[in-house]
Amino acid sequence: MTDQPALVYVVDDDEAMRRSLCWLLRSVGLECREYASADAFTAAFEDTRPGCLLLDIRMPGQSGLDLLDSLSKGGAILPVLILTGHGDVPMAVRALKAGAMDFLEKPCNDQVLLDRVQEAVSEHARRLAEREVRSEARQRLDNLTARERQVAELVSRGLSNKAIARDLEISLKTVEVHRHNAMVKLKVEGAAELARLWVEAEEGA
Amino acid sequence: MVRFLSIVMVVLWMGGGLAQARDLSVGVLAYRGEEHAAESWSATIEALNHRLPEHHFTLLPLDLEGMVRAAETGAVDFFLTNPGNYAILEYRHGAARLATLETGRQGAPRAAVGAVLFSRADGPLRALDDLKGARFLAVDPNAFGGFQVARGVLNDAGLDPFEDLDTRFSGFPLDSIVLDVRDGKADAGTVRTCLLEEMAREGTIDLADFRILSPRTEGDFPCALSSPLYPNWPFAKAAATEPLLAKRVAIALLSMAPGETGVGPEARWTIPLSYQPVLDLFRRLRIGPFVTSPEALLAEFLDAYWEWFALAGGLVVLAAYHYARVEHLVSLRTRALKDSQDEVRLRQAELAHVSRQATLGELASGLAHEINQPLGAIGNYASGCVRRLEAGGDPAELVAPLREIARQAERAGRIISRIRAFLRKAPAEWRPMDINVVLGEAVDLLDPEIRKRGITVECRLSPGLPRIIGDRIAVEQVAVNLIRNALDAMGGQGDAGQITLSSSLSGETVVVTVADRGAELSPETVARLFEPFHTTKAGGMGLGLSLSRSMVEDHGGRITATPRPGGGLEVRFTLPCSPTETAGP
Repeated sequence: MTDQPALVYVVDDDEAMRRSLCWLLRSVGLECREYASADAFTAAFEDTRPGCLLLDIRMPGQSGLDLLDSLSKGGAILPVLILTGHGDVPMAVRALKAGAMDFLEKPCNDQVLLDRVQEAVSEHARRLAEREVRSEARQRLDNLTARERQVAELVSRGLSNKAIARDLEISLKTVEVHRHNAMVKLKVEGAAELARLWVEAEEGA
Repeated sequence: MVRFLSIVMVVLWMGGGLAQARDLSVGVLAYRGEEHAAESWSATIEALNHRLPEHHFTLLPLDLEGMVRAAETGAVDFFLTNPGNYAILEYRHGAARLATLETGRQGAPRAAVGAVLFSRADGPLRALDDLKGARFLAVDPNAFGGFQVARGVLNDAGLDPFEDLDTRFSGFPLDSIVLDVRDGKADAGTVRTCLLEEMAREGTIDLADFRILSPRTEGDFPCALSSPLYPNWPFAKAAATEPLLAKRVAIALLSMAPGETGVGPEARWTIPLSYQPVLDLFRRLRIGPFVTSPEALLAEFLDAYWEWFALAGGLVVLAAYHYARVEHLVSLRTRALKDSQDEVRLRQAELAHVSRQATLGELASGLAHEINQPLGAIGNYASGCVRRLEAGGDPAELVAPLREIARQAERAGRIISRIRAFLRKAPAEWRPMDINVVLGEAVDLLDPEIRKRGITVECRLSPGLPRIIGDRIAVEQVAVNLIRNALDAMGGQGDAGQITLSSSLSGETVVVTVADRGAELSPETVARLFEPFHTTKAGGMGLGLSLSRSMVEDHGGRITATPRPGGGLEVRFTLPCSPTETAGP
């Protein structure tokens, strides 16, 4: 990745809360951006830098749950930590189901908060890396012709050339040519690598 | 034997036809003591006993008061008294004259009692007017001829013997009055007429030494006179004395020869004269039965009508008792009513308090969140500061967050005091307040709830409203109740709900409305909104609006609810402005 510090987004309608959270996060060297509403955050956030979102579940206007929803629909991989008040456990469960990574009850121990944030940042880094790999795999797969792709998919499933030729009703020779070309284009050696690449590209699609 | 019986029977018959044959007492005015009275009148009594042998008359000497008392109680059958006393007995007690004493010479019966007023012939007093301030002697204030007649003379001259003259009473004998005036021990005096002449005849005085004041003549009346003449002493019967007996007594009296009376050589009983002049004199003097001095009048009056007074007094006592009892009962009932009103007020206050507790209970999670915000912020700032210090950061950069910590602590404190104020269980404190501030506080208290539900409250508060007087907590509670109801009514609608809260001035009242866009309510529901225990909410007690109405009405206001066109409800309540506020420009 980059040398940039992790970037934590804080979305809370309570100014004191979001400013104090940022103060705490900055004290451990994290970068922090605060937003008073879900809409303001949506307009500004970028999902390319390792970080996480600290989201107050209860806000006027677009609620925390709504934001979670739209984030996952938009394919965001930013981990979301939900901040809840006392007694909002049912809401927190709904948030987890909607894709939140964890929830924290306010007010919470600073160490617990920072640990969770670090975990989320790491998770985001992992997800970003994964996404990187996947998009690379997809780009490579995109270079294949339709027939090469067909052959490569069947190879990744562990079918023999003969079986592929039978399935596709083409000659064994043709299968061998497509397979070779695909391997070269995808820069893989052997069926096992091809299979992994295929899985990487498929995940999250 | 038969003859004897016949006589007895005749006697019995005669006695039966008359009064009972018994002792008859004759009350005699003993103006100079009992002995003198007995001496003067024993001859008359003896003559009566002689003429009416079937009866036995006895003398009963009495003073003036005794005469009146005897007349009241019927203790005597006849009276022998002076004209003044008789006039009273006749006027008051129904005494009737049988004969009048006449001491003069033979002739037509006439009045013979009068007074002569006199001074020393060589003295300065010549007329009645000169008597002002003079030492004036009379025998006795109750003597008729000896004083009351003279008083009438003075009265006719515009003089009051008690006010204008230095009047003294010498007591009997009358002779001393004459002698005292002659000897200069007094300036003037009065005695019954003819006394001067009698004394002169006896040689005790010389008439030339005396000057008769206001002299007058009455026909051929032989004595010096200053006054009209009044009838002499009467012999009278008591009211209850048998008329037949009275008639026999009258006949006996009139048949007595001069001298037989024992009063004087020429004195005899003659036909009864009218004593009306005596009454007239009393009326003029306002004495006797005509007393007008307040005390005497009252005494007379009380004496005459004591039964009525007793009755009236009894009625007054009864009325007073009744009044006191009614007053007592009224005060008891009033106290009971006040107690029960106090009780109701106390119960209502308790109910209001419980209702506020319930409200806060329902708002608790929101309020906890509200308090958690500053607490969380404080925790975050503090942790951040510690971490920076531990990492060797510059303490100067901690100033801003530390300030922020203090600010957040205050914020948490404010929320807690707002809750405590709302929950306060204290006697209502009536103070002037700005309704907009109170409404703002209600909205603040409900803010977490409002935000949680994603509803907005639009405040259209008119600025510069006059202040109202009341219990701030109660008014805030009404506002909280109404806004919460509005929130609950819109609970199922998700976003975009809006409650309109407004305040305005209408005449001399402040009007507050809370309008929601909740479900449409049936007219029956609207009609029953303010009834206690009527609720449309699953967990509601149904007391909020009922309590709100009580509280608004306690403040002299009214609360009404009307469905809004297009759904929802508008609840409107009024509160009268503080008088000092509306009086201003």
